Amino acid sequence: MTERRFEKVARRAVRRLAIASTLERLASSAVVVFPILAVAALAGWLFDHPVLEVWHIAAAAFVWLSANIVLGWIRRPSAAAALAAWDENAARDEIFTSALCFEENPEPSTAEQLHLLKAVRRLDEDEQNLRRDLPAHVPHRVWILPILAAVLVSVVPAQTSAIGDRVVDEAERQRALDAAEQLAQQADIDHIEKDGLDEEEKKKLKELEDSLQESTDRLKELGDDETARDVLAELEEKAHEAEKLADALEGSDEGLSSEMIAELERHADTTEFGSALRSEELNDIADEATELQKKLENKELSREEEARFEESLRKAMKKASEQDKKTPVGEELKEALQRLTKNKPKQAAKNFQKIAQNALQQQQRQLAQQQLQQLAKQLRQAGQKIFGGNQQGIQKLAQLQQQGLKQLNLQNGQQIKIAMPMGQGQQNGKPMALGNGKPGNQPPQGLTPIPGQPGNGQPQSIIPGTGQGQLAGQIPIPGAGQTPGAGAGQTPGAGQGAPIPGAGAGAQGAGAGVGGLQAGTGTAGYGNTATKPFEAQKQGVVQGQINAEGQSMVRQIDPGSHNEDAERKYKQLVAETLRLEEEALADEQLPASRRQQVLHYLTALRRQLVDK
Amino acid sequence: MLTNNPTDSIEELERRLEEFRTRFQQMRDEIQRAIVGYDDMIADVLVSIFSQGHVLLEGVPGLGKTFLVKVLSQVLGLSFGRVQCTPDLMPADVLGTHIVGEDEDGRRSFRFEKGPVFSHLLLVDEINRATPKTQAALLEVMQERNVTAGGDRFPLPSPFFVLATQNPLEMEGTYPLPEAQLDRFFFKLIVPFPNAKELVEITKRTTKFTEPELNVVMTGDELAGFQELLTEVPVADPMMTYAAELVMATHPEHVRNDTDVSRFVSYGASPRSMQAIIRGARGYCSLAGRTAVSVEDIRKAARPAMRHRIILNFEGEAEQVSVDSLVDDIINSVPTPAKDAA
Repeated sequence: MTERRFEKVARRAVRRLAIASTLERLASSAVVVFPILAVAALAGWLFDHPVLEVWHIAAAAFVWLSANIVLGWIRRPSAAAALAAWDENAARDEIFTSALCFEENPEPSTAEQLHLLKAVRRLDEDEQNLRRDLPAHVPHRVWILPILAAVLVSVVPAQTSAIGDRVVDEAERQRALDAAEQLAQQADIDHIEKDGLDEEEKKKLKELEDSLQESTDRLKELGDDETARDVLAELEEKAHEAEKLADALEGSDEGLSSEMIAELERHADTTEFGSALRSEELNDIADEATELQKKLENKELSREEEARFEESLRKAMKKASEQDKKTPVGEELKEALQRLTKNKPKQAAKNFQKIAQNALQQQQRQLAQQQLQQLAKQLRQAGQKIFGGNQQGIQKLAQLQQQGLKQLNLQNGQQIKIAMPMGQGQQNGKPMALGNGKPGNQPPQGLTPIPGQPGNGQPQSIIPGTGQGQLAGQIPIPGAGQTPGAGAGQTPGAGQGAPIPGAGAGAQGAGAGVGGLQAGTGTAGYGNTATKPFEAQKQGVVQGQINAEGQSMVRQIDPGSHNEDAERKYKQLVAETLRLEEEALADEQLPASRRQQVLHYLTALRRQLVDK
Repeated sequence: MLTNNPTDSIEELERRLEEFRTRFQQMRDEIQRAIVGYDDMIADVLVSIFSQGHVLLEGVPGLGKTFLVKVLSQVLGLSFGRVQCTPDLMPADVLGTHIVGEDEDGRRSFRFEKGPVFSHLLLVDEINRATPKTQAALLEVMQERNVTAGGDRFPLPSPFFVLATQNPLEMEGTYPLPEAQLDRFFFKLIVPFPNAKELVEITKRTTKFTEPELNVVMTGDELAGFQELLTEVPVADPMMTYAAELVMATHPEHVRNDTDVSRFVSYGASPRSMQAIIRGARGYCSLAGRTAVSVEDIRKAARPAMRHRIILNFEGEAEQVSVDSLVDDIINSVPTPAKDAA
C-alpha cells in the first residue's frame, strides 16, 4: 500500500541527521582545533620545525575532518529515531515513527492500516519540508576561523618559499664567505670546557667540531645551485646539533630537601655547607665541601669535634627523605656518616672531597652547556648575516633565537661576570678582557670568554658598559662592577681589571669617559629567580655569631612535657626537675665516666628527695 | 449500535473512532451540567472507564468526589452501588452473604444475598476507613470481576468499575491501602480544590431546591463496544519501549545512584502500571483524533498510572517527597524516541 515509503524517507532523515550532527561536532571542535592548527602553522613558519610543516598541518586537519565524518556516520540514529526526531521538529506526534513500524508489519491490522493511510497523506504534504525540519548547518561565525587558517597556511608558505627557494646571489655568496671565516675563527670548539664531560660526550663534541668544519668549508665555496633554504637549513642543523648536545649536558635538578638542608644549617660544623647547598651555587658547595674535607683530614681533629660532626650528619640524615638519600650529595653524606660512626674521619673526608669534585664537574658541564648554546646562537646569527637584507621568511628564526646576556657565576671570580662575545684580540683560545678603553674597540661576535677558568690564569672580568660598541641587545647591568653615575670608571692600568665600584672620576683610567653608561640609561633585568619562601618550622635556629672569642655553637633542647598545676608537692617538682636533668644529660657530649658520675649524683638526689 | 466484533474495514473503524469522540464529548458535557470545573479530572475518569480500569479519587472532604461518581452512574445509565466504608464494615457487607430462606415449597435453604458490589458502578467511599480485611475482599472483585462465596462463583455485571475515594488528611482511624490493593486501581486521580470562579458556580448550582436532571448519554453495551474499540488503537514499538523505560526509571535499582528515585523510592511501579499507561494512552490518543499512540499520550497517562504504584522509602516519607514531582522528573529525564536520535 505504501511501498515502504516511510523506510525510504527514514533513510533520508538518517542521512540528514548524520550530516547535522557531524557539522555540529565539527563546529564545536573547530573552536579548539583551528586555533591549534593556526598556532602550529605559525610556529612552523617562524621556527621552520620539521614536524610543523604545512602539509603536516593540512594532514592533521584532514584527519580531524575525516574522524568527525566517520564518527558522525557510526553514531547515526536508527531509522525510527530519525523519523521521531523529524516528527518532533514538525510537531506531528510521532505519526511517521509509528507508520514506519506499522509498515514493517507484514499483516497490519485495520487500525494500523488506517494510521498508514493517514500518515501517507501527511507524508505527501510534509516530505518536501524534510530539509527545513531537520536543518544541517553551522553558525556562520565558525567558518571565520577555518578561512583565516586557510589564508594563513596558503600565504605564509608562499612567502617563505619565495625566499627559501631563491638561488644565492653574489653578494650573499660574499657574505657567506665572510661568515664562514668568522665562524672558523670564533666558533672554536677547542675552547669549550671539556673537563666535566665524559668520553661519550667528548666524542660527540668532536663529531660536532668536524661537522662544523665541513659546514664552514661549504660556506666558503657555495655552489651555483645553492639556495638560501639550503644554507639556512645547514646552519640550523648545526645549531640544532649544538643545542642538542647542550641539552644533554643539562645537569639533574635533584637537590636536597629543605628540611635536610635546614638541619645541616642548624649545626655549627655544617652551617656553611648547608647554606651553600641552599643557594645551589656549585662553586660555594665545592668550597664548603673542601673546607669540611680539610677539617676532617686535620690531624688535630679532637674526638669531641668528630662526635659533634657525626651527630650533625646523623641528625641531618634523620631529616633526609628517601629522595634525598638517592641524590649524589645525599649518598655521599650517608656514607660519610657511616664512616664517622666507625671513627674513620679521613675516610669521611673523601666523601666531602667527592662532593666538591662533583660540584666542580657539574659547574664545568654548565659552562660547556652555555658555550654550546652560544655556539648555536652564533650559527644562527651567521645565517642572519648572510641573508641580512631580507626581513621576512626563514631568516626570522635566527632573530628570534637571539638571547640577551646571561649572568655567569664562575669558579674563581667572586664578582658577577657577564657573558659577552669574544673580543677581537682573542687568539688561541685566550679570552681577552673587554673595555680596554680604546674608542672604537667593538667586540665582534664570538664565543663567550670565560674569565677565571682553571688553568688560564688570567683573571679577566668583562664589564658591561666599559669601552665602546656593545652589541645590540646585550644589556649592561648597573651595579655589576660599575657604579651608575661614575661614568665608565676604570682603575688606572688601561682597563685591564675590573673597575672599582663607586670609584669616582679621579679613578678613571686612560681612555675612560667615552664608553660606559650614564646613570639612568639602559635597562637591566631584575632576574627571574623567585625568592624562596620562608618555610615555617617548628623550631627556630639561632646562628652563633663568629667573633674573636672563637666559634660558638647552638644546642637545641626540645621542651619536655610537664605539669602546669599551680600547686604541686615539692616531691613532684623535684622528680620532674630530675627527669629533665637526666634527659638533658643524655644529649650532652660527655665522657662515659663523667656521665656515669653525674647520673650517680642525680640518682642520689632522687633517693633523698623523692623516694624517701 | 456498535457490535463487539473487531472492526473489519478502515472506513468503519474511522467512523467508530469519530463516534467515540462525539459520544465522549456528549458525556463530558452532560457531566459538566452537574459538576463544575474538573475538566481534566473528568476526562481522566472517563478515559479510565473506557480503558476498563478502576479509579481511586483522592481529595479533601467536600470536593464532590462522591457526587462525581453518582453523576457518572446517571450519565452512563449504569446500575450504581455504594459502600460507605467504616472500621466495622465486614467483607460480607460488601460482597453479600448466604442467608436462610424458604422456597415456594416451604423448604428452607441457604441462598446468596448479593452485596452492593453487584452493580456496574461501585462507589467505595472513604475506602481507607475500612479494615484491611474488608479492603482485601475487594481484591478479587476488582481483578477477577467475580465474587466467590460458599464455593460458588458469582460473576459481576459487565461493565464493572470501582470508583473509590479517600481522604488524605484524616489519617487517624484509617487503614492505608496496601500496595497490592493500590496496584489494582488503574488511575489514581487527585481531586483539586476548585478556583474562586468555580466555587461561585458550584454554590449557585447546589443551593437551588432542585438538582439538574441528567440524561443517559451512553448505555452499558455502547460503553463495552467503545472499550473494545480502544484496544484496537495501535502502539508502535518505539512508544512501547518509551513507556517501558518510564516504568523502569521508577525502580531505584535501575537508575543512577545520584537521582531522587534512588534516594527516595523503595519500590518502583509495577508491570500493571505499564499496562495502565498503554491502555490510558490509547484513550487519550483516540480523544485527540490520532490513529496511533504518541509520546504525548504516554506522558499524559504516566502520572495517574504511576503515582500510586511508586512506594517511597523511609527517607522519602520523612522528607515528604511528592511522588508527582518524582514522576514529573522521570518523565522529563527519560529520553523520547526523538532524543535518541540526538
